[in-house]
Amino acid sequence: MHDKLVLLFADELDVDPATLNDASSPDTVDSWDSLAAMRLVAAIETVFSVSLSARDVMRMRTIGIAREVLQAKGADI
Amino acid sequence: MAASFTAETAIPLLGGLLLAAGYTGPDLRLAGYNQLAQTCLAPEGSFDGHIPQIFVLLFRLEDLADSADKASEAYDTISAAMSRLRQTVESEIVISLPPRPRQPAGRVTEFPRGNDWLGLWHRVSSDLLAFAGNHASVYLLDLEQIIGALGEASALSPQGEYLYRQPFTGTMQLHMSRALARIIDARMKPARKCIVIDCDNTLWGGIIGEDGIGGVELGPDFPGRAYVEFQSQLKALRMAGTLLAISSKNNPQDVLEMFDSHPAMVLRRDDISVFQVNWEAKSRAIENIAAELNIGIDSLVFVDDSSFEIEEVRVRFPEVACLQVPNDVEQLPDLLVDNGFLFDKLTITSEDRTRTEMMRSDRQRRDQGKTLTAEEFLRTVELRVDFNPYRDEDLARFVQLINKSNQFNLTTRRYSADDIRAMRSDRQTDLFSVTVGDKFGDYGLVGICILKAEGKVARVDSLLMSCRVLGRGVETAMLAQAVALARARGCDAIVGEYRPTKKNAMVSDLYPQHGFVPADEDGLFIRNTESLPSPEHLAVTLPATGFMQ
Repeated sequence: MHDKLVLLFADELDVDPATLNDASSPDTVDSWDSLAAMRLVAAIETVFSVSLSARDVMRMRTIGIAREVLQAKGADI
Repeated sequence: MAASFTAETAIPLLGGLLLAAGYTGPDLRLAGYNQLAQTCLAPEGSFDGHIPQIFVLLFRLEDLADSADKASEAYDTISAAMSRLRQTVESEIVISLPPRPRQPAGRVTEFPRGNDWLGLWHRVSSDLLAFAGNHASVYLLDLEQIIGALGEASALSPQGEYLYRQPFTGTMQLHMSRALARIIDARMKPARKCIVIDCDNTLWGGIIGEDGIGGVELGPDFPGRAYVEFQSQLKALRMAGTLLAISSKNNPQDVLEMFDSHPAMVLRRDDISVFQVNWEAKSRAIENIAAELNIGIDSLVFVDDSSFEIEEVRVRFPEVACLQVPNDVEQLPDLLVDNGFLFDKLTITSEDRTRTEMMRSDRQRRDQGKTLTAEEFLRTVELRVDFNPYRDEDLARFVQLINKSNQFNLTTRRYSADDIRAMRSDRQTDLFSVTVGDKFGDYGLVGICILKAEGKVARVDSLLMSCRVLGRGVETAMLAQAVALARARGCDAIVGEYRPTKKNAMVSDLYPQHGFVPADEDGLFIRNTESLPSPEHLAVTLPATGFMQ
C-alpha cells in the first residue's frame, strides 16, 4: 500500500508507484524534470492544502524531504 | 508561442481547451525561452522550419532588462522585430499587452519624465495599441486585465517566478490560455452574421401585448435602463456589420409600434433586417430568417428569455449559438460582453495588408525593422562573453549548475564540491566558466566546461550551459575556447562526448555542428585543435592571467 504522497508523485511523474521510495529524486526518476517539478509543487499545495515557499521547494530534492517539509507544516500526510 | 518567461505549462492548457472546442490535433510549438526578437526575425528557425498559422508573443517588461531605460531599448528592438514579422508572414499575430511591472514602484511624480517602469508600461501599451490598430491580423492579449480580474494574489506567483521564471499561477495561465483559445477559435471559424432577438423580456421588460406601449419597462431608470443598454450594444454590433432580426410571438402591429414610436427604443425599424412576428415555433422563424438573408443557419445567434424557446431551437438546430437572457436584468448587458467572441471577426485580406502597410505612422519603425536580420539583431544587443578559469568564489555556482543543468548538458556528470576541488588541483584538468551579459543586463555565470588532457588528446568531460542564454551563439564560443585550450596544452585532438538522457536531446548534434566527426558508436566525437571561429557578434574576454597556471 502506497501512501498519499508517493501516489501523488507517481501520478505527476507518470511512473509506477512501486518504483518510488523516499530516496527518489530528479537523479533517479527520468521524468522528474523542472516542468514536472512545477506540476508537483502545484499538486502538493492543492492536495495537502499547504503553501510552499521557494526555499521549501528548493529543499525538496527527494520524496523523503518533501515528506519532512509537509510534516513540519502539519499537513495531513 | 514565444515568451519572455517560462510558458511550457500554458501549452497543455491551451491544447486541452482547443481539443475541447473540437479541434483535432492542434500543433502547438514553443520557441526558446526569452527569444522573442529572434522568433520574429527568423520564425522558421524557432519552429523547426514551420511558419505557424498563429504567432503568440508574450512578454513582461521586467523580463527584458534590469532597468527601465534598458528595457525601453529592448522593447524597441522587439517592436522593430514584430513589425518585420508582420511584413514577412501572413499569419495572425497575438501580442501581449504586458502586465504593469510590479517590482520597483515608480513614483507618480516620475511619470512625466517617462523613464521609470510605469512610464515605460504606458508607452509600450499605447505603442502596441497603435500597432494592432494599424495592421491587419494583429491582436492584443491584455495580461494586466486578466491579473486585475483575478486579483494579484490569485494571478501572480513569486515562488514560481523565483524558482522557474514562471511568474503566473495556474489560474492565471488557465485564463490566459482561455483568452488565447478564444482568439484562435475566432481565427478558425467564421464570425456569426446575424442575431435573432426575442422582444418581450429581452429588448424590454414586460409583455407588449398585455402591458401596452406605456406599460413596458424601457427608459432611463432601472429596470428599463438595463434594456436600453442592451439595445445599445446590439446597435453597436449592427454598426459593425452584424445583422439583426426579430423573432417574437406577438401581434405584428404591437411590435412595430414599439420600434416606431417608443421614445426610449434605441433600435428602430431600419435596424432590423427581418421581422418574424407570429405564433409559429421559433425554429421555424430561424429557418425563415436564414432563408430570407441567404445565410447559413450556423451563422445565427439566438437570444431569448425563455428556456423553452432556447431548448426548442437548440434541439432543432444545434449549430445556432443560443444565449439565454439572465434572470436578473442587471446582468443582461454582460450577456453580449461575455459572448462577444461570437462576433469577433479576424479576417485577413491582401487589400487589408496593402492598405495598412501604407500607414504613415509605422514607416519609421518598418524601415528600422527592414534592415534587421537575426544576425544583425544579435549584433545590436552587444553580447559580452567572459571566460574565466575556476575561481574559489565560484564554487557554489559551479556545484549548482553542474547538478541542476539537464537540457544543455552534454554528459550530465554530477560533481560535488569536493570533486570540483580535486579537479581544480589536478594539473591535467581545466575548469572554466563563461559569464554572459548584453546591453540589457547581466545573465551571470551561465556555462561550465571541464577539459581533461590525456597526452596528445584533450577530452571534454563536461560541457553545460543554462538555458537562459540559448540562441545567442554562446555555446560556439565555449567550444572555441575549449579547442583553444586543448591546443595551448599541446594536444592534437579534442574529443567530445554526448551521453543521451531523456532531457538533453537539444545538444545531440552540437559536436557535428562544430566540425567534430563521430569517433565511435557510443557518442564520442573528435576534431583537430585548429582554431574554431567564435561568432562575430560576441565580444569575448579572456582572463588577464591566462588559463594556464
